[in-house]
Amino acid sequence: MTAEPLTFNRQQAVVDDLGPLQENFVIKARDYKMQYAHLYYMRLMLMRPTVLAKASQKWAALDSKPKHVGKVLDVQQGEIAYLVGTVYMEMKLKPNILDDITKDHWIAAQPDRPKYTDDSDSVYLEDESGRVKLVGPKISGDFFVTGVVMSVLGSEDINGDFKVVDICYAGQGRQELPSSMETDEADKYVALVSGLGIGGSDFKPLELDLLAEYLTGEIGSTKEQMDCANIVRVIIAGNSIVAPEPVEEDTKTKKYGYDKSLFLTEPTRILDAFLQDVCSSVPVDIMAGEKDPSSITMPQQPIHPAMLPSARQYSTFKSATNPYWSCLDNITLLGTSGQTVDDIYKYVQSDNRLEMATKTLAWRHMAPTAPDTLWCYPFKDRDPFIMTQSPHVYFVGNQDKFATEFVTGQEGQRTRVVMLPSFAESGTIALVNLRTLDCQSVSFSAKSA
Amino acid sequence: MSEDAHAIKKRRMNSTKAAQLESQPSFLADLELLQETNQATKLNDPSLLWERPAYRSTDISTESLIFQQIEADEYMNPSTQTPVVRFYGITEAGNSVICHVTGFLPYFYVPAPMGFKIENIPAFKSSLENGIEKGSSIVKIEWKLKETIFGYHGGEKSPFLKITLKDPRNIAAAKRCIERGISFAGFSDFVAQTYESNLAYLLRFMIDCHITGANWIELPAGTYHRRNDLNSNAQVNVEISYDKLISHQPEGDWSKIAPLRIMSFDIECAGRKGIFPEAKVDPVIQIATMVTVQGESKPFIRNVMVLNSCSHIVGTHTMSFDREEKLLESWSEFVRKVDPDVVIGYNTSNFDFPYLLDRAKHLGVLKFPFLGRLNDIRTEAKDTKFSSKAYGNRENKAINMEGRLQLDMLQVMQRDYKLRSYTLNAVCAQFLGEQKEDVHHSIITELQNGNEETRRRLAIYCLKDAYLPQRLMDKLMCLINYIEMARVTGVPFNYLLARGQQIKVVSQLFRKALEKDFVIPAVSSQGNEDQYEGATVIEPRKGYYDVPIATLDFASLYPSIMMAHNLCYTTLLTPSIIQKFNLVKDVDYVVTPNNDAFVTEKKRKGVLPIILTDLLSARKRAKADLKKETDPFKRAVLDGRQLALKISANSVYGFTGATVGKLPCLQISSSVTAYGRVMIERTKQEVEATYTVENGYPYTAEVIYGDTDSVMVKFGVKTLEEAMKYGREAAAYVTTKFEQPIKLEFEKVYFPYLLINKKRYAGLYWTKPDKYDKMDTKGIETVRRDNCRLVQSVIDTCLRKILIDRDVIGAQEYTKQIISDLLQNKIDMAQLVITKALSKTDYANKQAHVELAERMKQRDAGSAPALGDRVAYVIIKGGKGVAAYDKSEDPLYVLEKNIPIDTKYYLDNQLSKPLLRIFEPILGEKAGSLLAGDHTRTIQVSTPSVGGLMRFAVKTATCLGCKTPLKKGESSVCANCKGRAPELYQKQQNIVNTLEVRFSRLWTQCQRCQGSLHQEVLCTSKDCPIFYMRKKVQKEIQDSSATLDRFVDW
Repeated sequence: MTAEPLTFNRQQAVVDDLGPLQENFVIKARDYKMQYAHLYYMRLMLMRPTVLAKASQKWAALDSKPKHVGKVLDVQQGEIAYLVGTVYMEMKLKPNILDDITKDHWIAAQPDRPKYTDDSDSVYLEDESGRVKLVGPKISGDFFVTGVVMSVLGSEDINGDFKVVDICYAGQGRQELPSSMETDEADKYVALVSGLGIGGSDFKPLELDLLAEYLTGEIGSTKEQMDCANIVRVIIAGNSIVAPEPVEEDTKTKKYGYDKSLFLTEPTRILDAFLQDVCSSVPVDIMAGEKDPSSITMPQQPIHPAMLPSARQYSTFKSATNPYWSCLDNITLLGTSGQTVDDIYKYVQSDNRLEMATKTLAWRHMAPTAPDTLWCYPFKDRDPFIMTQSPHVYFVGNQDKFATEFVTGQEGQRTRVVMLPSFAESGTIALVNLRTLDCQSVSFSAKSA
Repeated sequence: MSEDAHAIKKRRMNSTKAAQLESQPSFLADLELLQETNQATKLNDPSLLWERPAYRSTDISTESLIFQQIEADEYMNPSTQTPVVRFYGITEAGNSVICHVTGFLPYFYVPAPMGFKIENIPAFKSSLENGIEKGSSIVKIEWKLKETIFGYHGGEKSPFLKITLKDPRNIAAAKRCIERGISFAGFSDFVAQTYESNLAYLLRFMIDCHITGANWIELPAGTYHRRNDLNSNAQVNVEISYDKLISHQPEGDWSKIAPLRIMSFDIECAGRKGIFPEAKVDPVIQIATMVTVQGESKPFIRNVMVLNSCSHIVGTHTMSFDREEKLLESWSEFVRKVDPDVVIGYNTSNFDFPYLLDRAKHLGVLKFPFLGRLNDIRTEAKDTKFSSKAYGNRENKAINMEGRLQLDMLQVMQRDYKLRSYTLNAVCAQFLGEQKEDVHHSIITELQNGNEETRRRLAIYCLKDAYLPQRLMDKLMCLINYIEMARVTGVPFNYLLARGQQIKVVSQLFRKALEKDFVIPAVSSQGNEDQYEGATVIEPRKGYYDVPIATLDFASLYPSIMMAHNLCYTTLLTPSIIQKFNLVKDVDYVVTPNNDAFVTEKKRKGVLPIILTDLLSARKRAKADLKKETDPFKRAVLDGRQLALKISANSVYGFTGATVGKLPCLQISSSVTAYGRVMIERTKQEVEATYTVENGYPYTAEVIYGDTDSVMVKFGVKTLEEAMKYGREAAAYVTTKFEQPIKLEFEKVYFPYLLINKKRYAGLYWTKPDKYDKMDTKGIETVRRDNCRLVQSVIDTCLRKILIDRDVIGAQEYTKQIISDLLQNKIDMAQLVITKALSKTDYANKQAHVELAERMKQRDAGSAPALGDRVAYVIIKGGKGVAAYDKSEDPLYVLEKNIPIDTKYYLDNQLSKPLLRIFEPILGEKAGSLLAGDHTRTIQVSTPSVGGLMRFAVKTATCLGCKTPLKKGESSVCANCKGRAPELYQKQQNIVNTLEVRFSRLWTQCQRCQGSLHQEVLCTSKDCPIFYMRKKVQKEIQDSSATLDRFVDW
């Protein structure tokens, strides 16, 4: 039986740039005279009204008539009150540069710990006046990370600690519900990919080829090809290239005054070819990731397009920041290449990364641990990581495994949370239906193919 | 949850609101519970905690009074004109006691002149009375048979006159009178040396009553009576006659320590720009105080007094004052109310207290300067000079606070530890392992003049500084160790910081002399600086030993020599005495290698050997008890004691050799060192003669070095086990060749061992074969203050690589890399900074730090270092012939202006000597190759933005690949390098990324250290290893990200 050659037209989506939401990630003139205090200050200023409103709504009508105390330090012992402030986690296992320096060249730096947690950790709430230690089962039973702005209800105990009985976060940001137009058109999809890992030890060229063929609609059954034509955009969430580890050469006599770092053109070339391939058929947004040849502190700036000379020729190609906001057919998408959750992971005993990602929605902040433990640019006039809008799709790249959950906010916000595994390790990508926000994973394996 | 809470919850649930409540979240129950507890625990006025526990009044006729005395002084009773000793102490219940002890009179001895009879006493007395010119000041003169401690005289006692006076102040006059010559009935111009006339009254009293420093005293029921002294702040005021009180020796249960109240404080003053605070002008703005009960881990009082308003600080009692006078007065009142037994702080004696006193005087706060336990004695700061061979010369202020001990932790540190820097920051980094935020005094004024939040910030800083001395003291156990030292040596606690080593031996010597019925001559110090031959050093066979080197040590060498050979004042012989008593050499007496003669133990056991035996056996006991004891507090006391005992035993030898001393006897000290030399030589001979191939050992042993009390032996064996076996054996064998209790001990093996020179060596220290204990270095000056940190870290790392990794090649590579980095300007500035205190303005010679301070003053008087500040500087490149002192520059200025560092100076003047020293024994002649060669060829010098030709220079952008000047329209690379653009871009990106991470890590660390996220980091601690890094990265990252931005057009 021979099949008629069929032609599928690639569907398109209406793109919106979301204005300042996305622009805030772009750093124009870098200024390092600033300290981080400004960023924390801005965060608190911007988030306090929301958190306070939420808290008042939740607690003001209680029998005990708790009152809001404007400054953390004005809290009076024995008085039930609620406070708003920024969380600070005191953790002795946080990497400490002083330790690294004093041990200097001698004792090798401690291996990166998977977790910073320790029994001696304590939680503080801080505002511009000062900080107070938070205690109580509500605190010990939950997880907290530095940088979250929240409100706590309780009172100062005899030790000067604040005994917490309830906690209130900012909650999800506002969200415009997409007009659910009934159309005859087929559903549209966005493909989410992360961790191509080109040049790394897990990189499998064959699977990358399969992915390119899949996205361009060159393989699979008719049904698959038809589905594929409904992919309106591919977003690559970081770690496309893995920079090679610098290798110390022992054999040759040492040269003094030379840079040892290696530069390999091959991985960039492979990536360029792959993107060229895919861009010819579907728009691609490529976000910078931890391992990409880009800036390292959050927010990561787009990979220099000149690094990808062939792909940049296409109008469908876009080099994007990390994190990255975009909007397709009125569906807002927010993604990070994973560092935000990876860093929260270190503060928390649990291994449930999906829970951590959903928690950031409740916190209304995608990267609270920046700058404390997540390297970050010292913003002085804004905090671009506040999620003033709640995205419809919220994805986190380079996670250990695929996981997804549909989160509904207090005001009916609907958010599809997707944990994307690294493609190099899992061969898996995710497809999100832009109408229903359903999400499914697609895996590639060179062996079975 | 408690029963009550459940009940409450249930009751509420049944109320009309039940429905509403049920829909509410679960925390409501918690909230109610919290409300309940709040009612119960609401803390009242924190100042209620200030006073001591109330004193339970007792019946003095049936109950005895027991207290630990911590300080004592004396005064004259105005009605009887006799001296009274006043003890200040604490009962076990924590009540303060002042105890007046009456009736003890001072006395001294004079040898009775030849032919003197008891009948002559009245005439002698009246003549002496006339000589003193103070009316009837002599109470009595008695005829006593005594023996002088100095020299052996066949054990015969001779007649002495014991002269008892009323007033201790008259002893000196009486002494002078007799030394000048006195005539009385039949005796014309009788001149004599006086005995025991140079002992202070208080110490005399303590010795005679067997009271040691800080011991427990019991006043038996019915022997004492209460006094109603108006001038005393103590809860209990009593009086007793000196012969009624019981002094408990600090043994067993009596070694406990009363619940002393320890007050630690710090003040802040608002200085003016560029001027160190002056009490006449600059106000005291904050005083933070912590009070802790000895033995408890947390202070029970934490408060801060602030001029002007101050926001609440959690867990702290914050007191605001609108007038400085009121603040000072309140603090003084607070001190009296809290009534601390020990007052500590950092540099309180020389800064905080004098400043407070001067300030209070200036402001006319009349009630302020009464900080002691007696409210009629004004607290004053007096200048004291103190010089000691062991501690050097010190000029200090002494602050009197009757009844309170003072422990200025700065003085303790300077006395007991040799450090690179004694700033509180450096000391905390060293002992507590943490950096301390350091706010420059110019910022202090700004914070104070801000609002209640900035003042709060300052208050927190002040509180931290007030707490650190307490933590330091706890960590280093200073108080306990000092108390134990006072108990062991018998001197009052205050002597330990205010006086030298000698007084401790004096106290013990007089105690023992009293027991053995000796009298001690009051020798006037001649002050001749006669040097006698010191310890011996076996010429080191320099080199790097990659085989185990066993070290044999004489345990407590000098004390054991004195014990073994019975060396003492009381056993010293003169030829005439030998003749007189027909003493037989080697039977009745021995001749030391220094040709001095001492009688043997058979004839008489010396007092010093007895003291030493007591001390060392007490130490053995303490160590044995320490092993058994599990209670950490008691362990601390025992450990403090054994340490005190060891130090005391070792100071006896020094006492006999101190020519400017109370009782020098060079025959003893010279003989001790002479014995020591002989023993070291003897040990060498014995070991080398015994452990030979001829005697059946696998190798012939070799003593490669020996010094004072130890010898290093190379047995030739390859393994630690063998070396340890032979070490133990040899120690036991050689010990048999010496007199008891001299003992040669095998202590450790060095493997490998780097012997650089006399008193300079390094090695890995093993006491058990499976794991080394530590890396041990001697005389390798890494802590010298005029070195930069780089020297210390390079030497330390090299030694580690050589000794621990056994990687000599690696150490050389590392050294070369560091030198290369240095020459290429890649070393962190903090590593190159040298610091010196600006102590006075007029130095005889021009000095780098003084010159710099002057230059900085001209640039900006505000930020320039003031007198007393420490000046940090680096050496910068200067033109030919520029003097070294003119090449010093402020590190911050250097960073800002890109001024080139004189890397050659650092290589030649700082690194090369110590490096050659450690590498020469290994590499020999070739060591020089470390300092020259390939790695020194690449040099990078930064382009300064100031001075010289820079004004005329034009900046041209060059290609980032090949450095050719760029054409118009090109911003990053030239046409030729276009192909390399990705590589060059990536390289630049990597540089920026490295700097960005560093920026993040450094600044977030500072934020953590200062304990606030929302406030800017103000700290300017130059001692902190990241201070300059932080500045430097800001500058570098700005520059290199600008370079990265040049790729825009690409």
